[in-house]
Amino acid sequence: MHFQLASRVRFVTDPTKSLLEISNLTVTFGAGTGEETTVVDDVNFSVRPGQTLGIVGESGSGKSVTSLAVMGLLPKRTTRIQGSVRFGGTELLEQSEAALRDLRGNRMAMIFQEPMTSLNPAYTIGRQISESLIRHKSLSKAAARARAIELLELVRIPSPERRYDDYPHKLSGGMRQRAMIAIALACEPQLLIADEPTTALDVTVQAQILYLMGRLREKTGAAIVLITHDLGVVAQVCDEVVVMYAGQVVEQAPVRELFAFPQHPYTVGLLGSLPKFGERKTRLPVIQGSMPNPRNRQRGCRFADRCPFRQSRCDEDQPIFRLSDTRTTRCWRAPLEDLAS
Amino acid sequence: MTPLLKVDHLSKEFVVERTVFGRPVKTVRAVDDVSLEIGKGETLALVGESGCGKSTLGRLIMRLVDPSSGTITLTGQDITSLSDRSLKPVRRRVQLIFQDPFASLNPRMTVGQMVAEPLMLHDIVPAAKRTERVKELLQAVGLSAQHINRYPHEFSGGQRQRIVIARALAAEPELIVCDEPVSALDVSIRSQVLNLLADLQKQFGFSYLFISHDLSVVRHIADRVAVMYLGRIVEIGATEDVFGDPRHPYTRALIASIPVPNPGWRETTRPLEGDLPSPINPPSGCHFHTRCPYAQPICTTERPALVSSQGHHPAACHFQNELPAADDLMPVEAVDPRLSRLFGAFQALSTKEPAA
Repeated sequence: MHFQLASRVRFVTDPTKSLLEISNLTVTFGAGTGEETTVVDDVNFSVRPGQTLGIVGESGSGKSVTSLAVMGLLPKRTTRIQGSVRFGGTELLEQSEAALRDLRGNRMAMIFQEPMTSLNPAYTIGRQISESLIRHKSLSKAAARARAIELLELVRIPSPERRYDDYPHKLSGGMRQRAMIAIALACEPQLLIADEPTTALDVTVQAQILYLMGRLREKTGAAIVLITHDLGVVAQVCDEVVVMYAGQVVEQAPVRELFAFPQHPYTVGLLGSLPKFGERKTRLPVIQGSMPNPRNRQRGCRFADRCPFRQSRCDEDQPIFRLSDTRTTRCWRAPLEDLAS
Repeated sequence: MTPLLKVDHLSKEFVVERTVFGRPVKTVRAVDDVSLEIGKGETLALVGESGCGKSTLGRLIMRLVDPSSGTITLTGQDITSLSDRSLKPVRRRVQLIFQDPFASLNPRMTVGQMVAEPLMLHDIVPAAKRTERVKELLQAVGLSAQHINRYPHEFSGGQRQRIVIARALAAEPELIVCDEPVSALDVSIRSQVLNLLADLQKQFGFSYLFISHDLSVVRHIADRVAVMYLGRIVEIGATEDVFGDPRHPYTRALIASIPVPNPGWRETTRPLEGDLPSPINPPSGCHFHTRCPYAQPICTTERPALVSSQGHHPAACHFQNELPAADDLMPVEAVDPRLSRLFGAFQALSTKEPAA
């Protein structure tokens, strides 16, 4: 495999410092309409260069909205965003739309879940890749074409010269997702946000895409934020994990620590409900009930209704416990070791 | 004992291109000479990537699509060429659960109307007792009788899938074809629905044809597994055998691609190369030879038969006995006793009835 990217990377960020730092991020929809809904509530996390952070959660947990807020892609008029999103030292929430446009697709890029709906069916694959090269890197059309073909080769699309002029509908799902990755990588971003990049793909293709993303990260030192609901994917590729539930981060930990011993009941339920290898035809453990509607969340802990470890204080208030430098949980009963005795 | 369902040398060709006079010039063999059996009360899983023909096979068995050749037998009765009219009683015995519970419920009908429809069509329960029966069915799938007058949009994904299941149950089927029944659902809801499917099977004794691409789910729920690649079954056998001792390189590649929820077990090997070849123009010989790490010249010319050898389950590979041992495909999970106790405590205290 050739990695033409490697020689071109110019690193301006210090690999020991956070590249992306999100603090107290709160996103409210329907601002000013009287029907306000807080979909992301007081989210904090940071990502260092070369690191892969996984955001895990079910639909409605706020994981995608968090990423859209970082990219500045939420509708301005109806959304209120509070807190801070610092990228390489710059506060993104204070940037103008023009300044954000210079960053997006350039220093930070995003891969979406559904490659069929996020590629423009009316333009060729090649044109969609060269677009950002022309816009951000001021390359000539011919130079952008050559570079785009290099990128298609990099993401292992066969006969890239021919594929350059193909429209998205002519590509298979896996190839489209690889083309999406080529677009995202075009300007060698320092931060790559991948929102369920492999959910729509078959397992063998998923393995290819994850392998590719891992190799690219090694070569370019980019930071990756991987949003997924698949705990298997998280275990395979992430360094740090943020578990989101009903708009909040309920647990945050290095990946090995999280899988070794979860410290929030929701994580316990998620990990426990996975079908185990070698264990068959038994009843799967479940988390009872379903996620609360964001319009009528109860006071206190949002997981309390479904939580078997609930106590009376869980209905009143909700703590954030810092268990170590790298580990936090929003549970009164933490550390949960006592419950496992 | 006759199996509940027997499929013999079943094939389906779709025409993809015709001449101006309507003569077919290009066809796709979506299902290619497939034979299988499903016993009473058994769960057979059909796995494979999108485009391998697993859903077409499901639809052939439902007789929603007419086969090009081969036979389908339901408890000894050949249903391959029954007319629509004579199919009606057969349809009652085979029901379908779809993947997307947002697309498979009529938004303008109430839950009660939808679940009552099969009761009415097949005249299973007299009109006076229908409401009663619908309420029983809703309770059987973990919904409440009060939901009867509500519309689909008022329910979450998991609840909708329960409605779809109740509707399938209403016809009192012997075989339920589940086409990716949980892949549209969230993780915490998925296990609720899988448990429900298992409970209902235990209670009513029907069989499942479980079509899925999710091997960890299949491994959990199926008695036997059939692996499909480009329209052909490449391996079939008891779940433990297929997962524990896969005899086809494609099955091995599939198993190796499952992301294992264990950070201590990171996949370092290169994944399977390439995409599924076009089914319009499939590779000669063994369809898998273009991606197979063990391919030999014979694989490009001769189609391997689905046979069992040396006491193994059937696999369609020329070299099924020469493949190296497959111990390194999956981790042997040594669960930390502390963690098991934590999961145990979580479950023991979750006693409420499922509501989603």
